[in-house]
Amino acid sequence: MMRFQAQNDVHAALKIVVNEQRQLVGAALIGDFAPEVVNALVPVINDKYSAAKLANTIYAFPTHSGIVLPLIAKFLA
Amino acid sequence: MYDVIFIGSGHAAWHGAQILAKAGQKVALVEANKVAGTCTNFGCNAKILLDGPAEIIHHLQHYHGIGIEDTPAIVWPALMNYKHQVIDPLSDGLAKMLAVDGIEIIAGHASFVDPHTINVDGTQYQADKFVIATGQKPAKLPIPGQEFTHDSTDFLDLPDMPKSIVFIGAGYIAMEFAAIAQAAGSHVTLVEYGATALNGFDAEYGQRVVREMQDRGIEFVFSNAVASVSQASDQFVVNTANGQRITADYVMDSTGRVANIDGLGLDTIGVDYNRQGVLVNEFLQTNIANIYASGDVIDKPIARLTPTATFESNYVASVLLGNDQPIAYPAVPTVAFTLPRVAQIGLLPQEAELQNCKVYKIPYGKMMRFQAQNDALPSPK
Repeated sequence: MMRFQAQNDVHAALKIVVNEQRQLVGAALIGDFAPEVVNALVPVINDKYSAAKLANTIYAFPTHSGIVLPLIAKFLA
Repeated sequence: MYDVIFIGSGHAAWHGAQILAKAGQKVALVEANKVAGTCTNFGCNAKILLDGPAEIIHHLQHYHGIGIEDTPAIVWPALMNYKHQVIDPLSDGLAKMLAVDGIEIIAGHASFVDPHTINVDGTQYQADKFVIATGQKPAKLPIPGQEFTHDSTDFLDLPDMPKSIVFIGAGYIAMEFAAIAQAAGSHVTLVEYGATALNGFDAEYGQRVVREMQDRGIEFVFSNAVASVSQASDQFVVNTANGQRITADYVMDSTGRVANIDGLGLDTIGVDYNRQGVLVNEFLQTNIANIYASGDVIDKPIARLTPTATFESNYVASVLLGNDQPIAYPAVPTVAFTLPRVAQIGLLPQEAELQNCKVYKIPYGKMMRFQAQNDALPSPK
C-alpha cells in the first residue's frame, strides 16, 4: 500500500510519549523523515491535539507527516 | 547613551534588538568576531549546506541492490567554494539589514567597567540596559598537544577533505561532522570518553546511528580518555589513557562547548556565573538588575539551540518593553543531523515512566515496506 513512500529507509522509527490524559507530550524519531516530522508534532504537543482533531484533518499524501499524524491519532484521547 | 546594548550579534541578540529598535529605542550590538554569530557563520547554516550532498548519498545507498548501484563522489573543494559563496555574504547582509532599523554595530571586544558602562577596545559606551548574548565557544581539552587539534569552525572551512580524521568526542557535533567527512571520502575514527554516542538523545536510536555509521566504515573507540596528541612526520597521533594510538591527518576536538565569557569583565561588576554559563532568573535577568542574558551563554536546563536563542532574544525585548510574565518555553524540537537523522521533542521516552506516561514504539520504516501496518503496530492500552 505505502511501499513507495519510505524510500526504503526500513529502520525509520518513532517512539511517542502519551500522558495519563492520552495527550502527546513527547517523541523520539530516527530516520530520514525525522527532521520534518518532529516539526509536524510541535502543534500536536503545544495545542494538546485530540484524536478527533487529527482524524478531522486532511494532510497531503503520500508524505511522511501525512502518514505519521493520522497514525498517532489512535493513541490519543 | 543607549537604551540597550547587546553584547554579541547572533540570534540571541539581533531578533530582540530589532524589536526594541522598531519600538523606538536606541540600540547597539557589540561584536568581537563576525556579525550574525555562530549559527550563521560557523554553525547550523554552514553545516547543513556541507551536509547536503552527504544526505543525498545516504538516500541513494538505500537503493543499493534495488535500482541504484553507484555511489557518487563529493568534490569537496567545489562544495567548499559554494559554501563560501552562500555563507560569506550573510554577515554583511545582516549588518545592512540592522543598519536600516537604526541599530548600531560596534566592532570589538566588550568588557564591563561598571553596570552601565562597557569598554570596547579603548572606547567607552553607556547604556541603561545590557543583554549578554555572547554564546558559547568550542572547548579545548587540557592535554599535551592540544595545539594540534582543530575546532568546528576550522572543520567548516576545510579547503580539502583530509584523508583521515579523528574526532575526539561523540556528541552530536562530532557525529554530524563524522558523517559528512566519511561521505566526502575521509577515513573517520571517533574516540569517546564515555560508553555511548549522541548523549541526550534516545539511547536505542543513538546505538542504531553508531551501527549504521560502523557499517559505512566509521570506527568508534569508546570508553577511552584522550591523554595527548602528538605529531608524527606530517600526521598526528591521538594517544588514549589506556594505550591506544590512532594516527590521522587531522584531529578535531569536539568534546563540547563552553560559555563565551572570557574578558567580559563579569567579575569586575559582580555578575554571577558558573561553568555552565551566566546565571539568570525567570525573566532572564542576572543578579545585576539592569543586565540580562540571552541564548547559549545562559546556564539553563533548556536545549541550547538557535530557535531557543531566538525565543529568548524576543522574550528579553518584551521584558524590556514592559512584559512582567516569566519566560515559558513551548515544546522544543531538537535534531541531530546525523545519517540517519535523529530527532526528539518534549518528554523523552526514557523520562516517560517517572511522569506516569506511556511510550508506544512505531516501526515506521518496516510498516511502510512490508505493508504490515496492522501487525506491526502496538495496540493502544
